[in-house]
Amino acid sequence: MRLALVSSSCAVIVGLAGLVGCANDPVYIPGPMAMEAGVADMTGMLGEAKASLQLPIKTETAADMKTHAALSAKLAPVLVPYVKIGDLEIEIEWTIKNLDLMKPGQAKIQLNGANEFFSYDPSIIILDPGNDEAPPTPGLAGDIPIDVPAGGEVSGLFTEDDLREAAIDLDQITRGNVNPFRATLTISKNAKLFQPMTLPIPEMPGVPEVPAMPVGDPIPREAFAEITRIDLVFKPTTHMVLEYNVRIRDLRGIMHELLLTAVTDKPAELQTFMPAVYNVTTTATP
Amino acid sequence: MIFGWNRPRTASSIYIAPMVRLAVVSGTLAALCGAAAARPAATGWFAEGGLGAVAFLPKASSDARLGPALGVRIGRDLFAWLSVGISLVASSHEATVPPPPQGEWFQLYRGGGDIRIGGRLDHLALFVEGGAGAAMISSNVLGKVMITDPGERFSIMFQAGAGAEYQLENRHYAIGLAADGFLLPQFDAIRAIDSRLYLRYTY
Repeated sequence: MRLALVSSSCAVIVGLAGLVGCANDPVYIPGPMAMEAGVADMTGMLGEAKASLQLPIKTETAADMKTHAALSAKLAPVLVPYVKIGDLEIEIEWTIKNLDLMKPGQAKIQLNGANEFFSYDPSIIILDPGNDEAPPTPGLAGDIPIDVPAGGEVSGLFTEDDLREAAIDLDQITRGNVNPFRATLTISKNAKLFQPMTLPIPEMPGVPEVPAMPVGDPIPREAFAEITRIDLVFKPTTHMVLEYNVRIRDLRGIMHELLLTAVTDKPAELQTFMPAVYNVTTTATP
Repeated sequence: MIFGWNRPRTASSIYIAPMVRLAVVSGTLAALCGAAAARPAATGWFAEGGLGAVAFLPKASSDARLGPALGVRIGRDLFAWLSVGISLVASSHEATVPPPPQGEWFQLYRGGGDIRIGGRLDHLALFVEGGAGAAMISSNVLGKVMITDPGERFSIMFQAGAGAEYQLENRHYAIGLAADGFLLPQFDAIRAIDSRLYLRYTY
C-alpha cells in the first residue's frame, strides 16, 4: 500500500516534470509597428501598408551543420535549406481597427514572404505582360475582403496550416517555376515532393510556344524551405490600423531566445539570409 | 383500568423511570461518540496532491485569467507542530493581453521548499506556511504587457499562506483546504493567490 502510494506520488512528480520538459510551447513576436492605411493620397488612391518581419533564427550550430551536410549529400544535387518545413510552425494573429467612426469598410490582408533562397513579392511579378486585363499575380495567402464596422475591431489569423501551405507554394513558385496561380490554388501542404520545371518560351512569329518541361531532380519534402521572413500587405477601404502578432512553435529549437531583441543586442548570433528576389516575365503553364 | 397520564404513580416508579431514561440516553451517546473521541493522526513522511485555482492580483489580473492548478507536495513532519516540504505546482491561464494575440494560454510552473507550522484540535488542524522557490512561465505571451522581458522564463518565488486540515478516521489520511499568496519578482513582481483542496497521506 505504502509502496504503491510512494510510487504514484513519484509518478505524478515525474509526470509534471516531464510536462515541463517536453512542453511544445509557442513564442510570440509582436509586429514591430502597427500598419496604418486607407487614407487617400493626393491622387485619390487609397494607401496600402506593407510590413516585413524577419524571423530571428540562430546561426547554425556545428551539430546542425553536420546533419545538414549529411542530408545535402543524400539528396544531392537538390539544395537543402537550413530552415525546413516542419522546423517551425508559424501562425499570424491580427486585429484590424477601423479608425473611421462613421463609415464601415473592408480590408484585405495579403500574406507573402521569403525563404532562405527567394523572396516573393507579387506586386513586381507580371505573368502576362501583353494583357492589361490580366488578373494581378496572387499573394501566397489572404486577400479576402473582411468587413469592419465603423469604429469597430475585427480579429483573425493565418493558421499554421495556412503558413505551411504558403511556404510550400513559395518554394514551388520560386525553385520549381510553378505558376503562382497553380501553386496557390492547389493544396500542397501534404505534398511529398514537387518537380521543378523550365520556364515556358512564349510563342513568337514563326516559332511555336515551347511548354514547360521537367528539369532536374524532384525536390523531396525533406528539402522544402520554410518561410523565414513574413511580409504583409494591408489594403483597407477606410482609415484603419492593423496590428499583428506572430506565434511560433519552435520544434527544432532554432529561434533565438531573445527574439527580436537579438537584432539589436546579439546580432552576431542571428543567421543572415539573403534571398534573391524572385521575378519572371513568364512562368510554367498552370 | 387507568392508562397513561392519569395512571397513579407509585414511589418506586417515580425514582426508577428517570434513571432508566438517563441510562438509555447515556448509552446511546456513548455508542455514538465513542468512535470519534480519539482521532489519531500519523506523523512522519507525507505526500499531498491537490487541485485548485490560481488567481492573479492586480496589476496582472487584467492580463491573465484565473486558471486551474494541479500540485503535489512531499515532506516530513519534524515535530507534531512543524513540517518541511517541497512542492511542485502547475497552473494554466488564458492570457488576456490586448489583442493580438487572443485566446492564447500559458502555463506557470512553480517549485520550492516550505515550512509549515500548525496545531491540532482533535480532528481539525490549522497551519500557516511559507517558503521560497522558483517559477517558470511557458511562453512570452505576457511580454506584450512587459510582465516578462525578452528571453526571460524564470523567476524566484516567495510564498506564504494558511490552511486547515481535517483528519479522517484512517490515521494516514487527511483532507485540507489551503490558500497561499506568492510573489514573482522577476516577472514584474506579479502576485497571485493559489487556493487548493488537497488529500494528504502520511506514511
